[in-house]
Amino acid sequence: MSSDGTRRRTVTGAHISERLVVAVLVALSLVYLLGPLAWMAVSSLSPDRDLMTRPIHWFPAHPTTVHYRTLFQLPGANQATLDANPQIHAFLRSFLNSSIIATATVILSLGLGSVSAYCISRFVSPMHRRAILFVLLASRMVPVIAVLIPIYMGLQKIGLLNTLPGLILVYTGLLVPFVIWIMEGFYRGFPIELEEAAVMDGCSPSRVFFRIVVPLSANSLFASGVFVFIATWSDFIVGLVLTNSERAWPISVVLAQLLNPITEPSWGLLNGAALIAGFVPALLALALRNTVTRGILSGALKG
Amino acid sequence: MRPVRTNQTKMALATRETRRTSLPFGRRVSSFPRGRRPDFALRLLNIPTVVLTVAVGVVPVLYVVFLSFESLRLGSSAPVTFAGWSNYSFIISDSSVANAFRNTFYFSFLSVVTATSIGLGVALLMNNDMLKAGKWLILGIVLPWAIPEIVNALVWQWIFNPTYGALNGLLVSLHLQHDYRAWLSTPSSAMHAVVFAYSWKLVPFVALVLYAALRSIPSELYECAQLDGATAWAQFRHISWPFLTPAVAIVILFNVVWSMRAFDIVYLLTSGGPGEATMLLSYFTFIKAFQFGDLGASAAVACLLVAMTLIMTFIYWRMLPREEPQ
Repeated sequence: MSSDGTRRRTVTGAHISERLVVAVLVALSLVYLLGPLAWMAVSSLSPDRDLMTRPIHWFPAHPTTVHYRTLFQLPGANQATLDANPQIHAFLRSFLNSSIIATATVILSLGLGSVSAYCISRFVSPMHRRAILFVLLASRMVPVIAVLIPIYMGLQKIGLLNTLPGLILVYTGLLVPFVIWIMEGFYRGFPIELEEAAVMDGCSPSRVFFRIVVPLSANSLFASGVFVFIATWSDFIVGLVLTNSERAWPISVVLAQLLNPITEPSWGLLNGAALIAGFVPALLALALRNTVTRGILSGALKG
Repeated sequence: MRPVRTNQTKMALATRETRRTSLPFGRRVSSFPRGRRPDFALRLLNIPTVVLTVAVGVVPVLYVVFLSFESLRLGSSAPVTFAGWSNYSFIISDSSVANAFRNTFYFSFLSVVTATSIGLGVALLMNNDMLKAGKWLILGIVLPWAIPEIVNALVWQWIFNPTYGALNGLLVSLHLQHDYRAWLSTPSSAMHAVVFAYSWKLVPFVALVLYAALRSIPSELYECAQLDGATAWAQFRHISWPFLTPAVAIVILFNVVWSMRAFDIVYLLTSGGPGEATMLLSYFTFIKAFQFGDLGASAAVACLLVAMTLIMTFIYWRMLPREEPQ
């Protein structure tokens, strides 16, 4: 257990076997957690004929970048795969679509959510605040699939079906409650004395918010932004229902379409596409792992 | 009747108003200094938020409830007709709905058990400072957490592949299995394969929440226990576990909520099959509406999902520590 007592015992070397057990367990956990991802990377770098063998080549015998060339239609692409699977032509476009959607959703939901969170934490009576927060929590919890039919109909009515702005609005509406929920908790713990001092100097509430509160909450805003970005990038079902052409397909939808159920797919290509789709959020989370882990905890345990 | 009620309402409002103004605003921790009101700019900036959250979060829920009492087909020009409780009697009597309901429960239960037991193991390893493996394990848990669910599904589709899959290859080379198996198209193993793939992505969340709970335990407790000669198991059972139970409760609650929206993994791994062996409520709602075009019945199932989620939300809300009131 995590105590100084344990450490002292290991220093004396009396528990080598115990350390060995822990080391083996840690290694097993890492294989379990990272193995599937490593296998995805290995497969994406192997030619298809190496993947379709028994027994399995655990390391690429003839590493190749042909799958990535095909996905991005670079020189050296596999023309046969390209012809067999026309969805590949949509891949690059869907990558851009997802980048645009996720970035715009982050900007909109942070901009809108932080103002509302501040207002809820400062200008609303505790009773009403509890009511608002409960509604926000509930709308965060409700499965998206349950409300997609009305959203589909609504977007159809205003002509935003299968458009990037339509998707951005829906994602923002779905994620603003999350931003408000997180930021409201932050603002409630924000030192009120700073704001009082600014009011003494004659600042209006909006000036206090934009000049003092926002700059000092940059870290929390940033963390919420990372979460919104990953959630938007990772979404599949909203994109699946609300888009029907290359114009607005997010990367997750094109990835699912690449898995053609009729012919045996090129598994190297599929793994390459999956790796690219997973690369952006994975890199973001890896680089900001402290922010992300703190954020997961505050999202789950916050009161 | 009416004027009397209006008067009563007015009176009630008046008393509430006086009560509110008599509240000592200045003493509330987080109110604006001297009970200030938001100014025009702040009020204005709240309008889009309210419009969007109402349009995407509130109206659709109400509309789904409305739809569940209507008879409406996707893409048909026939007028919407009132259907009474017929959609609900359909979902009560239909064996596919009952099956999806059972499957969702089984899926939820099994993924909670799998993810919590593996996650608890990882959390204990992270907290074990014999090897200081915490840093490595953080790297290991951040990646599965961050990758999209659909990527997770695709990776496992490849791992479970019946002819060239890594799982088959591994089991055969370890002599645990004689021949390659079609995990996803065998009714008896399909659900377990789906749960295994789904749980893999849940483990990071579980491990992190449980790790945070373990970190909050004062180390003096373990020191005292060691002085008294308690075994590792006794320390876990009587010190760690009581601190872990609230975290485990939260983990279970979130997993139940999430399993009601589990969709991507079923969509890509099995499409609910073979037969209806992996049909979940969320996937059923989807195909009922967008493949069979029966919006009314789909809305009725969606209402069921919303109702269950609201119950879970309410439980979660009661579990959260109460704020103020000062």
